[in-house]
Amino acid sequence: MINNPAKDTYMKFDLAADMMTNDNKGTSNKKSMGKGLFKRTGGSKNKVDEVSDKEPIDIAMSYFLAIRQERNKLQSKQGS
Amino acid sequence: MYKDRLEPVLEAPVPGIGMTHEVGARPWQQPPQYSNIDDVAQFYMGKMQGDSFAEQTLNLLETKMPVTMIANAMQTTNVMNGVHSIDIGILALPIIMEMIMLVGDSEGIDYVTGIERDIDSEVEDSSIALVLSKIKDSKIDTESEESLIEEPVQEMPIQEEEEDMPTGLMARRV
Repeated sequence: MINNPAKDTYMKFDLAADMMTNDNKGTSNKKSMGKGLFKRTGGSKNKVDEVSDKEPIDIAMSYFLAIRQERNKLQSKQGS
Repeated sequence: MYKDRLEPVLEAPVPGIGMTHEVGARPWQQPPQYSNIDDVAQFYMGKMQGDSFAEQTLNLLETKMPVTMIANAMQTTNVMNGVHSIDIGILALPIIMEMIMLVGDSEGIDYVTGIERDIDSEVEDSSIALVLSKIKDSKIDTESEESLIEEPVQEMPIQEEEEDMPTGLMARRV
């Protein structure tokens, strides 16, 4: 039984965010887009379509990560 | 109306709800104002950037009210007001918490998140478990020792039953 939904969901998001940041550290951030026609066809994807393709939890995670980055920046500023 | 139906009626109102208010008149019984997480996140972020919200939140954080509790209260209030559904509210909870913590950090407040591990209680639990296991072990040891050593059976002294003396008016005197 969930007694504190905020705690449970936050801990899950926190864990997922940590895992995502660790994964990103290990691999390079550059995405291989290909060359020529392949690049043009791949890159022509509409932004609206990209947003609608995402699952609600992915959208929530992207907001969560963005705010966390802001917090980390703020903490590093205050620390220095 | 529903008397002769064989299948369960799931769209029927909860018994007794007619005594409180007309069905559908409450905000939470209507379709929510925002139906996707993007809109709900924008709604909360817009709300939290206001000065009044920041001031109220900072006051609450200074009283050491946990961030989880504030987020839960905000979310349930907005569900009650028909802003969003419970599902979207649960998804938005980490965003709300992170925003509140950002506000607290920006003002340099030492807040309580509500997700900290209660180490003292954990230590107490583990120490109690340890003591219980020790007691169990010692019991098992003593039982095994008792079974090995046969104790001499002490004969209980048999009490001689006193003869019942007749007591009554007509009883013969001895």
